[in-house]
Amino acid sequence: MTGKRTVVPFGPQHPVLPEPIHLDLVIEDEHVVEAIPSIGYVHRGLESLVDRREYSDFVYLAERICGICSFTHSSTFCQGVEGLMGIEVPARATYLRTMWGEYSRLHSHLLWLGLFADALGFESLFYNAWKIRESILNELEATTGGRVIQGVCKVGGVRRDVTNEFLSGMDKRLDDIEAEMQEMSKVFLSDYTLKKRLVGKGVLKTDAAYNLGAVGPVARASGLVEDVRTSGYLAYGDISFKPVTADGCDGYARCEVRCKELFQSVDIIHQIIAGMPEGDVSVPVKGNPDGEFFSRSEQPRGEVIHYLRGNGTKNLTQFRVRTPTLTNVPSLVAMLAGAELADVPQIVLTIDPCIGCMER
Amino acid sequence: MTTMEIIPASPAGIEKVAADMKADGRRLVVITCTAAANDYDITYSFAKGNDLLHYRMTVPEGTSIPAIDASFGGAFVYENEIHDLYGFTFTNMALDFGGTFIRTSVPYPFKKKEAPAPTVTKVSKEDAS
Repeated sequence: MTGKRTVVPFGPQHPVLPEPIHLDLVIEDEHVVEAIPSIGYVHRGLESLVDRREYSDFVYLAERICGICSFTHSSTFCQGVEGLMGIEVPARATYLRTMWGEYSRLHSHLLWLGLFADALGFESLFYNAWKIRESILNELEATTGGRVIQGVCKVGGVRRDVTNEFLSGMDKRLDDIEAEMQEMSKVFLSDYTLKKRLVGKGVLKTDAAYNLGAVGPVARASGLVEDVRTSGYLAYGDISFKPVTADGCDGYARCEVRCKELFQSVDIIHQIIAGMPEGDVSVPVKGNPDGEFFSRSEQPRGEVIHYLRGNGTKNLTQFRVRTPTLTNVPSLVAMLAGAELADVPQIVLTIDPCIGCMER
Repeated sequence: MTTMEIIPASPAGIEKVAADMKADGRRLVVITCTAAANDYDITYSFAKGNDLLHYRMTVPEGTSIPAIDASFGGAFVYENEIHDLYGFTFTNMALDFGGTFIRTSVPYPFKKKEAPAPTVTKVSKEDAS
């Protein structure tokens, strides 16, 4: 080590970053000594609109917090209002929400896998991941009317039902999608070059992950069983599943967790379709929210929290969102310390940063 | 009215609360700042598995609050965010951005605003005629 330090700016615009985050990388002999993040390039102040929009209309704004996590934002917000108002959502609606939540996870993970492959120079792998993602988006479009922004959640249930015949068709089509994902995952998990670029890179030990509050695939790839779905919200209490974990604590482990979660989501959707209850998909909602509530969900990127406070009027008085990317930033800083400068882009990508979500 | 179980806390005792939470094997989930009736509520949420525990301090604008970064290194994101959006100062942060973590065009945009001055000037009947 020469002891000579240089600060290299990374971002906010960078070829591997779909959204803007800036890191000041303190470099010594091509190694990162420290990474200092700064955010705020796309801060929209969406939370402050809650006192100017009725709680029922705010669902549309909540799902625009982020394009990729849109469905989970809307369902988490609705779940929060329903918690405040003591609304019992019909079982079929909770099953449909769970199904769409898992389809969202599939499309988010496939999007990330594609972007990741592209960043590492694997063009055809990128196309393949996004081709499979198209099939998922087609299912979302056919059942909700929207490919990315679904607009299907509402306080008290969901806006659309899906016929049992269509659900059977989805069930069968998932088998084909699963076969395609199997082929794709083999490349991600066994390719020599990908392993060379990922194994031992961006290490986040189990203790560090816990102490820094890591969530989602980042935490699970460090061996932590952190998954809000185990709390049994929506229909997860009726579903048999075990959180996917890995003990590599590196970039490869994070890729492995996301690949395996694809198949877990398919399995959950199969169970949801098999156990879909009959009945209504929404209940009439009367009154206004009063009190405060922490609504938690497991987004594709990890635990999301919507904090809501109402005062008995049609407008909530406070709304705060804590997204998985924000809580994974300290983990990213820890992963980058000691990394080689050339590995920084893929290490940043392994946390699957979603800046729009993070900044609201 | 729906309520959550919230344990009262104070700026003077928050570091000990954080240390106790860490010793209990809990992780910091979020620090939430919200404007209350006259003051601000700052709520610290800690989780162990799926169990969430909330500690809350109700403080006036501009209160200086000790950072809990000694126990939870990841707290700096929430502390810097609360500083940049609400204007609270946290002492001894592990990483203090000095107000540049979230760069907003207006300083402290979520701080309570004073009531705006009326924009309509009343004109007396005599003047109007």
